[in-house]
Amino acid sequence: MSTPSAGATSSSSNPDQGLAGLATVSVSDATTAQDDTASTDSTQQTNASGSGETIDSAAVVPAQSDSVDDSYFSDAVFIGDSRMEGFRNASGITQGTFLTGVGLSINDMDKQIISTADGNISVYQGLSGRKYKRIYLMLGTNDLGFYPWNQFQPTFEKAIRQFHALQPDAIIYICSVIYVEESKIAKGFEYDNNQNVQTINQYILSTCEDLWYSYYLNLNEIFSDGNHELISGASADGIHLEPEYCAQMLTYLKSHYISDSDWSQVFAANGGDSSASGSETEGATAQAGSSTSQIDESAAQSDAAASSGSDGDEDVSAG
Amino acid sequence: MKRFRKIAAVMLAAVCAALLLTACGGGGSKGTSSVDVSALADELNKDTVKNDTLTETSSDMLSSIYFFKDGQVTESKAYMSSGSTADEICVVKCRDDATTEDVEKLFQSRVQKQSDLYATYKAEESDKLKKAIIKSTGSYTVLVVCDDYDKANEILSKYGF
Repeated sequence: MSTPSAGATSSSSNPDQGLAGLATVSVSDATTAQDDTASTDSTQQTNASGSGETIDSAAVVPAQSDSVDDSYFSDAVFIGDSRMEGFRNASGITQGTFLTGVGLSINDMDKQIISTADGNISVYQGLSGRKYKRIYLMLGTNDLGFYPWNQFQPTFEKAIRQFHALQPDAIIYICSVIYVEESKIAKGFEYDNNQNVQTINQYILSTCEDLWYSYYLNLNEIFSDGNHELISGASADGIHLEPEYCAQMLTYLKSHYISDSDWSQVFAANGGDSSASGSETEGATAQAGSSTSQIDESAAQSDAAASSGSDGDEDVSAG
Repeated sequence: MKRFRKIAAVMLAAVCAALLLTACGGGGSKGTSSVDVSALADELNKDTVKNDTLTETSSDMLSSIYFFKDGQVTESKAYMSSGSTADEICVVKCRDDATTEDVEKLFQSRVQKQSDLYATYKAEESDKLKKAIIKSTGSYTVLVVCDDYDKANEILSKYGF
């Protein structure tokens, strides 16, 4: 479980996050200084520059001193909605497989809506075609406002477990839902608001803390205006990032990763778990890349590989 | 008189050559074999997209977006949206004239897929996709999804489409 970080500058209470079963998140604010009135199982705080938010949790992917280049993504698969498509289109990324679709939500993982050269497939089918080393997931924006919230996390975790069952060797990076610019949100889409973004991000972070093979990419560290909102001007419609910010996201991904050595350590500690769904070691947290990392040796169990994909080089991507 | 005819013939030839060059101003004319792929894509992006800012997408990614097969496309330039609209422009030079038919089918498939997805997401973008331009001339094929289709057709005509 994450703990508050030393050095938090100022803080304000998070908007109502009184969600059963969830740690309350205290969000520091770069622009206002108010008393912290929330409990702090997990704590978000402003970063050193005061322009964004950082989270103190072992599940959060840390910044590395050396950035990788695009070849790091050659064996990565990017799964996501229109925001991920925008990243593909405008960031300048040159490698990676994309399983994306406009409007994609967490409930769509088994729906055949990802286009390929040979017709439509589901995300799960896309993960069965070849072996990946890394999975990047960006979903949640299309889930804002659609759920009785207590149904979101079980659904989300189920999908992540299935990803792991299909790609047992892969590290799963889960992007936070990026803030929106509320004043630009179209009428009828008011559920696309930053309170909902914060709520869903709590669930996503909690999932990452529960499942040893999943890590949280805190994109709002660079996209928050310091007041729980997307930086003004970063999006024309309030949701989809402008090209220069897509490029910033690529830079962030290149500098935020779990090193191979850390991942090997975690992987080994968890028995190189290539188990099928239903036998994950959730709860036995082993997150790498942080000084607060814990590796639960007792979680090391290995079941027979069940449903990993072949090593084929199927061209699976979506538009 | 003979001399006058000769001069007139030379002048006529010069005028014809000039007209041909003018027609090729964008890099091609109906049925010609050369289109400036980059210039055409740039012009379409600049003059037909009004409500979005498209970005040039890495050519490395285009095969996984349009599913071009190996060697099908020898030159390309594409501008795509960062997600807020369905606008996109893709200009490609195909391996040969015959391949344009296959590439047109890939573009049609792409447009249909996007239209289906946008239908439940942003209906107005789905309507825009229904008017998408897919055209070929020689060994070149274009896909245009934009705000100003009249202007797009005007530009394409200038380039020989």
